[in-house]
Amino acid sequence: MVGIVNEIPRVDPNKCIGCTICGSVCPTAAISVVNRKAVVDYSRCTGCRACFERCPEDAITMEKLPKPRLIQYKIREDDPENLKKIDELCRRAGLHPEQIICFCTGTRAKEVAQAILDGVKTIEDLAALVGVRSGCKVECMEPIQRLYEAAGIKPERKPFMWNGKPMQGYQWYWNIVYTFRIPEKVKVKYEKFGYRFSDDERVITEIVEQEWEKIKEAKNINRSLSK
Amino acid sequence: MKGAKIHDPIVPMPPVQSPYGPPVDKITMRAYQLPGIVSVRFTDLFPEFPQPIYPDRSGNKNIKIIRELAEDRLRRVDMSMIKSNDSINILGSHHGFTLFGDGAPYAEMLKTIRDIIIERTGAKDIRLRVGVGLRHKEADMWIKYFKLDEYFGKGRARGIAPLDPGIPVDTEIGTLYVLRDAFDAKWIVHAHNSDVREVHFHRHIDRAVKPFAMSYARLETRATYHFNFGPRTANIVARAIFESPFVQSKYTFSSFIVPSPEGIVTVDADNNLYALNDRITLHNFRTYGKIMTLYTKLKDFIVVLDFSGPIPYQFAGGVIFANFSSNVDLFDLDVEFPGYTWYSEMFYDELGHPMSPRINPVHPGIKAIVINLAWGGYPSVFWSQQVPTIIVGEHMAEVLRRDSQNREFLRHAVVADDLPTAMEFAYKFAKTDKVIIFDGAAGGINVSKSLAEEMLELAPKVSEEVDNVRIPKWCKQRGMDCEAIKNSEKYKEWYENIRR
Repeated sequence: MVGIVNEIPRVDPNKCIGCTICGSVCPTAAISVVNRKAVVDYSRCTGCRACFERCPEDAITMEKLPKPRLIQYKIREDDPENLKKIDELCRRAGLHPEQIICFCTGTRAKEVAQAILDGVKTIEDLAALVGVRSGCKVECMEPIQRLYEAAGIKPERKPFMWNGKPMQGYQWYWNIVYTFRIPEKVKVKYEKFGYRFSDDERVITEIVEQEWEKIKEAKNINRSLSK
Repeated sequence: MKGAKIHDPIVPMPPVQSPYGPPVDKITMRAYQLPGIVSVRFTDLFPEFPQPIYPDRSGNKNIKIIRELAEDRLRRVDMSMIKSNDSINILGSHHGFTLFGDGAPYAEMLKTIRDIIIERTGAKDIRLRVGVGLRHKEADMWIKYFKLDEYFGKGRARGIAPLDPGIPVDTEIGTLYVLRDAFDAKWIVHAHNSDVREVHFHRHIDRAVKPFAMSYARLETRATYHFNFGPRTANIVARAIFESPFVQSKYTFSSFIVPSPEGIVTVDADNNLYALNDRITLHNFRTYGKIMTLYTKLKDFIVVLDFSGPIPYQFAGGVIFANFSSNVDLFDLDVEFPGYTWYSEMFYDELGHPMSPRINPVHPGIKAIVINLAWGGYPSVFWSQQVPTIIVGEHMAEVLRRDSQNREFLRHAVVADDLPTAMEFAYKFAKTDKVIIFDGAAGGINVSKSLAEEMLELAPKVSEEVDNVRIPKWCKQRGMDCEAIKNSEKYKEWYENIRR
């Protein structure tokens, strides 16, 4: 996946009131507030529009870049041990490594897994380096959290800076609710209304396992999906 | 008139200026104006459909009838829990403003809810909170468009987005996050629309509760819905939130604007959301179930998108393009993976092929997509990857090029100078003259004459099949006794009222 950044935010200092909402929602913690004015670190900005969309004063506009900036996180394909670790991490998260986890950028589970294995410790750094959370900012959040959890990491939310002091935003909350973990009695209670818990768990597992088997065969790697 | 059952095209609503769409003055031609475009009406396709009230079958739009119906329904719900000094959040969604491209009925229902609460309880602290999908400014845009900020009073009407601060809620399936500002009043009113809409996600299991996991929920909850369950279980996230002690402690009643594929047919309100859900489920089976079944039987045509909304939320015959392209019986719970849903899209490989034969393909009848008018703000690259796509004009291309949710769209699409040129190209490579237009038209569907004839020929058999075979199956799968619902006094009264 190659993320394409086509536009960046511009802050109108005459309109900005320093409310910090932009800093609180920025997925890459690229915005700080200095003397009641928002300041963007363009080296981290992915042009996701979160600041533009939530600014209550309409103080932010999106400006087209003369030349798009590309974001690409490379997988070390030539290292079989590395690939095995990626596969194992995805498996523990209940994801297929080739599975799309961000519909906006087309990012796949294996790319996020590689970054986590490389030591990217915060979701904000992950967003800046890999390009996840640079589109809708919403849907990729759960597979990202599942991959971190599978790696045994509970990431800290990266603060944004307010007059040089760290401040907590609300870019994300740690929260994993997963079909394989909900109580059996709850499933039984609701299946009569049409919910197909066991069928859905089975078909998704079968897709992942079937593909795992293909990869296993092709690469002679021993693995299976665990819940 | 083109013939007994082939009509002149229906004029759709004009384009809406939005931060997510092209400048409206650049839309110089609409698809219904293309040569050879006619319309097919629901009165001819499915004459058994209930009569719409807005617009009615003469095309009249009388907003007073919406208010009268809403007042009648709202005077019959229990509001005794609300005291005069209580605060109330009316929870709405952007969806209601997009029905047939005309948000006036939904806006009128929201205003009426406020007025009747005041009338019946004396409460004055009534706020409007409108949720959004993935266009985080859209709700505020509609609030201004319909002057709801003025109607509710300064600061009392505003949009809420999944990026806004959240609060945890304990549910039967675990802790989930909802939007703090949706629930910052003593009471909540659930004000929604009943069309099937994202049936590719909720599969019409507890459709009426869906906004509790979407419009009123944080981003983590929405991602949980779309990633951590499955193609027939995701809506449990919404039901779990609705049933949580926290939400139940605030819930008062629900009020829904009720469309059919043809137009708005009524307003429904009830304290019992599940009873309301039963009514709209059966109504949707009997109406949307038919047009959606008909759509799956169409062969080889060109789709033209020409509506003020993102690509999957463009309407033809009241059905969104996401459902149309899914091309399976979305109500049938034996169907695993629709042609389009995120639970399907996530299992496409880097070459754009499904990773399993279980994944149904996008509607194979769609030979080309022409985009004359659409908004960004929803990940839609999937369609340009799967179907040859032509974008009309640089103004439209630039919308998608700059959209952070569609950065790769232009890698898979071409740009034509104008709509006739785009169509000329599409006709050539698609090798068909059949066209269906997603423009939100009410009363019928704008199509080519050839497709109108195909639809008219198919409709009677579809109607019979849905009534006699599919509806009994759909009801049984959901544990619904549809005959009992149909024969219940409330449903009969409701359905008779619809037909007035």
